[in-house]
Amino acid sequence: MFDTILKRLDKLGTLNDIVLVGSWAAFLYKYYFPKSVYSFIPRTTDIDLLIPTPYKNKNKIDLPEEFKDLNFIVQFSGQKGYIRLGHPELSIDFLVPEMGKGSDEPYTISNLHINAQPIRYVNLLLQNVISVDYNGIAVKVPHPSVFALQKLLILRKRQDEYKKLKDIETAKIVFNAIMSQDKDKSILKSEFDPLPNAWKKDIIKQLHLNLLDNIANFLRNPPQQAE
Amino acid sequence: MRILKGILKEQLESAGRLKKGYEQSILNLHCGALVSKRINNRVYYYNELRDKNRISFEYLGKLDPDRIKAFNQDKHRKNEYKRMIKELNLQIKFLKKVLSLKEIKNV
Repeated sequence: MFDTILKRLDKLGTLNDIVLVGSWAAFLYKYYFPKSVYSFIPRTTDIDLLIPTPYKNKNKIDLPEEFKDLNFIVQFSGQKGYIRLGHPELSIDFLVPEMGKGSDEPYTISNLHINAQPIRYVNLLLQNVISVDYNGIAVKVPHPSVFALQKLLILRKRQDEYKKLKDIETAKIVFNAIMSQDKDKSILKSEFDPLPNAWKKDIIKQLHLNLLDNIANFLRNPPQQAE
Repeated sequence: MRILKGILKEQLESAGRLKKGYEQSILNLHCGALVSKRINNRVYYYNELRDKNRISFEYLGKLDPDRIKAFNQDKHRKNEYKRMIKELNLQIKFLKKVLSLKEIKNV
């Protein structure tokens, strides 16, 4: 079903405007890192699609209608009624970055006939987006460095204990893979350095709490000076 | 194990919600089945409705092709949604069984 969803979005010409986040992005990192350094991450049966705002694609596409023939139905989740395309194999959730003081009201994307859930800290995921080749389809995902940093940032906000544990486990696997690759290690540092001090403090605290002291120490080093 | 338990629990809740969604979607589709009868070389349509063991026919008369297409699409969709519900019932049964295992329950 994952392939089918991506192919459909690709055919509709929207895949290029969407960033895949969540556990399915972590799954795609196996196509980014060498096999020897990256291990399996459990995936959920929902796929999170992050849509950068404002949505710039002018083509009008009725996404719920386009997924009807695949037996997806429109569901309204949460008290606010965020649209989700439901299917027994894999459901689709739409997210947008929550900006400023923020509002949790559904964000309407009329060109796609959907609304999306505003989420805090996901703008960090959009700061460094890479493209991964998955069975011949180019899928946009956050660079693993911003993905792992964001996982630590949201820990404080997590209500469910198991989600916290899942985020920590995922972050550990991704951080360890990053630290084994010199190029990604320097990207991690360059993404961490300009973050707001409060965020940096939070990340360092979480790294120490979750026994990732080596990464905390690496990130605490003064920024590298350009030669 | 706690992560697994959490994922399974969330999956169970989500499958329950999705099942309700499909049931609701079926209610929004045409009910009955389109039946055609040829009388004096003309085709007339009826909506076949079942109520337990009773079958009744609602006269629709002549229908334009678009309406026939919509009827058939709804019939196809209804069958597909019923298949989804069956799939979800299996998922729910499996998830409940796994969540009731001692090793998971006591985590």
